[in-house]
Amino acid sequence: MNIAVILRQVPDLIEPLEVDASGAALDLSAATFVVNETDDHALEQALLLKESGRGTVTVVALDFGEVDNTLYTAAAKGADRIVKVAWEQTQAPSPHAAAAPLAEALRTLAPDLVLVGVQAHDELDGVLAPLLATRLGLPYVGVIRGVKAAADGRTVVVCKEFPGAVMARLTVRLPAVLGILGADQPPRYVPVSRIRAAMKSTRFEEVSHAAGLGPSGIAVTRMAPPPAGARAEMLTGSEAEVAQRITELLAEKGLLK
Amino acid sequence: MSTSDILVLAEIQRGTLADITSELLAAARGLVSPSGGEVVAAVLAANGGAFVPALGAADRILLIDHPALANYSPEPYLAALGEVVGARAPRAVLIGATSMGWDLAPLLAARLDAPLALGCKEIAFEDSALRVTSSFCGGKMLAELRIDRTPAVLMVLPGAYRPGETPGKAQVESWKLSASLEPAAIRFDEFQLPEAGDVDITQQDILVAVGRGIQQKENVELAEQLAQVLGGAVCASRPVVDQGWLPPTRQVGKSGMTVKPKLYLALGISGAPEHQEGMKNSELIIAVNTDARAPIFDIAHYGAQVDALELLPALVEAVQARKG
Amino acid sequence: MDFSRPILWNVPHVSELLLYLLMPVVLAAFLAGTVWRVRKWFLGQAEPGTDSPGRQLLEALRPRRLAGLLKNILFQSRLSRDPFSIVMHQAIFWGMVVLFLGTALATVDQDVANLLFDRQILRGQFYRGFELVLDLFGVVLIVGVVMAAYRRHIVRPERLALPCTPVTLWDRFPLLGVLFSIAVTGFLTEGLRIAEGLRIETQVASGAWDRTALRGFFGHIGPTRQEAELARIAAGGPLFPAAPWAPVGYALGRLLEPLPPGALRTLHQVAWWLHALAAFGLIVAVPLTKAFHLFSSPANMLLRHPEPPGRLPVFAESGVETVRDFTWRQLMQVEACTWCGKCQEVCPARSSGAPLSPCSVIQAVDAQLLRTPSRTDGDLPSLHGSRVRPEELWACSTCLACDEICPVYIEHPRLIIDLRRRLVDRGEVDEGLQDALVNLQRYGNSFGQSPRKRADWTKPLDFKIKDARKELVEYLWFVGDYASYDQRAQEVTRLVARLLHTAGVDFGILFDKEQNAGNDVRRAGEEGLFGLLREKNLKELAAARFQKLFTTDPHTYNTLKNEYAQTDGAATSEGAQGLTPSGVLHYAELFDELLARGVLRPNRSLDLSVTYHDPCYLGRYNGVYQAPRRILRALGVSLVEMPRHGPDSFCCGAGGGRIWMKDIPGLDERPAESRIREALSLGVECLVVACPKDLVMFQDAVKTVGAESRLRVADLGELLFEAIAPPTQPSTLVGTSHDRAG
Repeated sequence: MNIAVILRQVPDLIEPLEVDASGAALDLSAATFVVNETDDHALEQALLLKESGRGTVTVVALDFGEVDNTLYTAAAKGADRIVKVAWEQTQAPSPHAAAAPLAEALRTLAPDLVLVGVQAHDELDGVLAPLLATRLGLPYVGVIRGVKAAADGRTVVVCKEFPGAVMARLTVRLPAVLGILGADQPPRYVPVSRIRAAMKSTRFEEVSHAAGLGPSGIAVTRMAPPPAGARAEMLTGSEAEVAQRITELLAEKGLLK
Repeated sequence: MSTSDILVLAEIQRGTLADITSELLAAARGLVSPSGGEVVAAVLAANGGAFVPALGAADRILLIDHPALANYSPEPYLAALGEVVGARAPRAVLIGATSMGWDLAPLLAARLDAPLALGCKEIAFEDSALRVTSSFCGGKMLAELRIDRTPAVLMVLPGAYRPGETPGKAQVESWKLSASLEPAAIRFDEFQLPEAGDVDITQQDILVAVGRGIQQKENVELAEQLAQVLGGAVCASRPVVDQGWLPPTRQVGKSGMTVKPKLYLALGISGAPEHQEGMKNSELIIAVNTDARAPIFDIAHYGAQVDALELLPALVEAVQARKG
Repeated sequence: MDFSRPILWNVPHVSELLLYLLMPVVLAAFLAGTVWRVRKWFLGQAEPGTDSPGRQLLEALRPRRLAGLLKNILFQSRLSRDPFSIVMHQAIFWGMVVLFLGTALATVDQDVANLLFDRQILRGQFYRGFELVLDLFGVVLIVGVVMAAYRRHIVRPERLALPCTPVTLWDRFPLLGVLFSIAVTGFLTEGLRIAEGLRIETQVASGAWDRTALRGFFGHIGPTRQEAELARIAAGGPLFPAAPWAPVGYALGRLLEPLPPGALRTLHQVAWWLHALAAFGLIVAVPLTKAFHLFSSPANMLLRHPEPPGRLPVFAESGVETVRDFTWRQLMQVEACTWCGKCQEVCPARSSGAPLSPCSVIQAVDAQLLRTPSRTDGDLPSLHGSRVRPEELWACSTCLACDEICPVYIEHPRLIIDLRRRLVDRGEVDEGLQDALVNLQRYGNSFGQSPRKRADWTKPLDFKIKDARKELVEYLWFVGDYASYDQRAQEVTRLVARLLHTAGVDFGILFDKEQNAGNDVRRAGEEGLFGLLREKNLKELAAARFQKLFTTDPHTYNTLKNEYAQTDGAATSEGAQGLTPSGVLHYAELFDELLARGVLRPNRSLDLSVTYHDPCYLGRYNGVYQAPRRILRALGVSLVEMPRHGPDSFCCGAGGGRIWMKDIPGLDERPAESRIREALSLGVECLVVACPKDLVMFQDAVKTVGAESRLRVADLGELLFEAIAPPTQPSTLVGTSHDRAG
């Protein structure tokens, strides 16, 4: 089974996000980038599928952010091929813009299964996974936690997660695109020594494809962090004093019966 | 030709109408009132008639019945919804940001080449354009969007709207599907339910919620003590359940339960949007976290920047003393 | 009167012949066995470092090393904490040495002096002295063996349990029994001979004696001497003039005299054979059983690792899978193990119920080694899973207590870390450790917090701290993860800053350019990440300008002192010249120095009874015990030592990356809790720590144990601040009785 995985770079939320001078876009000049979390899970799922049967894992990524680090890590974890798709622009690839070159790259690869993270936190006006599926004319289902390959290699059984830890089991005929929420196990750890070794031995396949789809039809007029205004009334003092205040509050509201 | 109707996807979960539906209807109501137009609820099921009584807030209830729609799977649902939207040309389609919604909204938008907005918290009309306030980047950023094109597909965050009081005309209409819903590459097999828990947290009036801030499994015991003294139950955010300190039936949040207790005491919970989704409609939210910038304080009514572990025993003592 | 040691008295020629035939066989078996075992050590790799093995050997044979070995052997100084053991072991050791030398002398006397020159060395007064000494040491040997048997079979300490998996050919080899037999049969042989002698003397006295038969007994010496002996006996002199000088033998002789002559002679021959067989048995068994430590232990003591324990030698970056991946020195170490189990006794993980026993790990590796053919290029079975389980390896906090107490200098932590590295290479780490490692790689700290916030602890201060990247400072303060990011530790960090500022000490920090020094990353087995962190830190240190470096964190201290300050070309610029081993200080050393120089002056004496917890990486790893104690004395507190103090300090359980890992399930009591109880038992008011991780661990433990109102956990810096700061200035102390009001 040939599996393709899309790895995206997203701004690391550990630093506060800045809005640029226009007031309507993120200022990514000072941002650090990390691999999108659900994409990392998708990679893990792909590697698990490969390990449980035969097949190859091809990672496809746009050349943006700190993608090289991510790609070497993927190689160290066991990805067989790494395809880096050129991205000439300075802005971060939005789902619509990213969909075309990525879809082209995937078309060339013609994988049996495409695993993409179900969402990325910087998505505002599009979701990449279903966009790719539609462009490739492949069936799509998302919010998947766990993928198992059937013996015939032509279908996979997936679990779609619903609230309350309810799972729906679905059988998907390949080829298909899946929006991964989580894999059967958390992403594996790969030590720095192996990443460094991958840096020496891995060759990226660099490809270039035509730029994105038409505009998304959404105009962003303003961007700002949520107002700090509507916040809780803070209770001050030591733990004992706070405990007292809370108790009084509860009593006032008639909750201590 | 586009109408000013707003189409709402009524979400059905294992035979019941999900709460999100009434929230979407309220959002839709807010949109149609000034502009005119109808609130249309689309019910995709094998036999949607059963849900009509619960959809009183809609003006028109489209019953799209087909055996292939008995259980959710993307292709037949997309085909049916796409047909309806294509035919009725509403101004906007409101879909909940739920497991089903995360499939259908983007697929529908892609199929129709329609604009898609994620994380919608507020929707309004501004002249003929839609004005949407969306939350993204893990809740750390709000974006204001303007959408001119029609139809627009909007994924609405659960809890962004409260169910409305206004009843609609509630006209029932049966939709005859012309699209073929089969064959499909994706087939629903069955639901896998979690093991029955001892406590149904959605039925509790008082919830003591623990997050990563309690540090260790042993400290859940402290929370249990407080819950007992208050006459409530313990629930948790996702990280705590992932660690195995509490079963999944106690999980509150996007992929857990949605709760609306009289008191939600959040201890050591940072309040990421996924968690907030599950509890933001609680009547009284008191949050305790050592980080003053924790997002939980945005939705809490009261907060304290103290160590939850230190507070717990003190609170147990204080409540016990007060109760006498 | 001329007399000499009887040669082969009552031993028929057949026996004599048999003995001489057996001897080379036994020797050959011994040599073959020894070679078989020693060859296995060389399955291992060369030690890392530029010195060739030959060079390393030469290094080991330097006078100081040899003197050290001699001191250990003569005084058993490694056992100094266990007087019973010293006496017991010395008794057995010297008993065997003297008896062995005595036997060797007797053999030379018999097969060289007598055979070739018809003269004996063991004659006259000298022989009498010889008999006395040998009898004495025979008793000494028995005393030692009885002491050992008492401990092993009656006291039965857990540490003396046999290995849970077979290690040698015969794990249950009754070494004590064999030693005892050698001594007893030796005495019996002697006693029976003397008994016969006494009987003959009685015969002679009564006039009935057989000259020919008697001559037969002296058959092994020359005729002239035979005549002399017979003449003496005929004149009524003693048959064995030296007999009374062998007290035990003589007493036995008197006891056994009444036995009939035939019985006496038969028993004597039996005892003689048993003695020979017991001795031969021991010799053959040495290379096949744990008795081999007789050779492997001194070899290891001599050839041991010369570098400080704080510098971890890393050979294979991807760790150890099979015995072949260890170095020859490590294989020699596992062979040197005497199975005393003291390491297990002092292990904090073990005592809290974790599945780790350091000696079990050593024995498991030895067991595998002994089953590995020494001449093989093929695949070897993995040590992981079958021999050593991951739970055992991860339970270790690298506290060095096992290494410290080991009488034969085995480096257990080094072995465990080498095995861990393989688990990390495979990605088999628990969630907590994985999170920490990922965070360390991405953000340079284990907390997963922004590196830009590393110096946020400085914000509440009312003075600016110098940036060592921009200006020259006397002291560069390498703050460390916990001291920077943990809220409780931050309080102490600020106090230390205020102290230094008040004292006018010129110091600066690296602000957000500082990253985790990597000590515990290396000990957790992520060598590549350690290298990365070290590289980044060295680059920043090279760009900074300072004369000396200090830190409040002993782990940081250890790696900066021992593993950063090496000549590897990175520390070449002016600033990094401060990075020499002697230029790295722990803040206890710094404060000690400042107090001595009068730069810091306590304004008052603290009326407090305290006990001090020696951090593992400050004490055992780097020998800093006195500096903190001098500080405490200068503060006027009354210091009461815990039973486990100094090199015996009991680890809080956080080291080796354990503070990042998930809790071990099913523990009886965490090490930190045990330590708190130990402190409580002294009745002191305060437990003083000198490490931010200790601070955090013990504050948590004090709460778990429910002793918050009885014991205050305070950092050294806090107390110093209290003594130096003006009385009106509160010190915003952490976890004290102050904030428990109400």
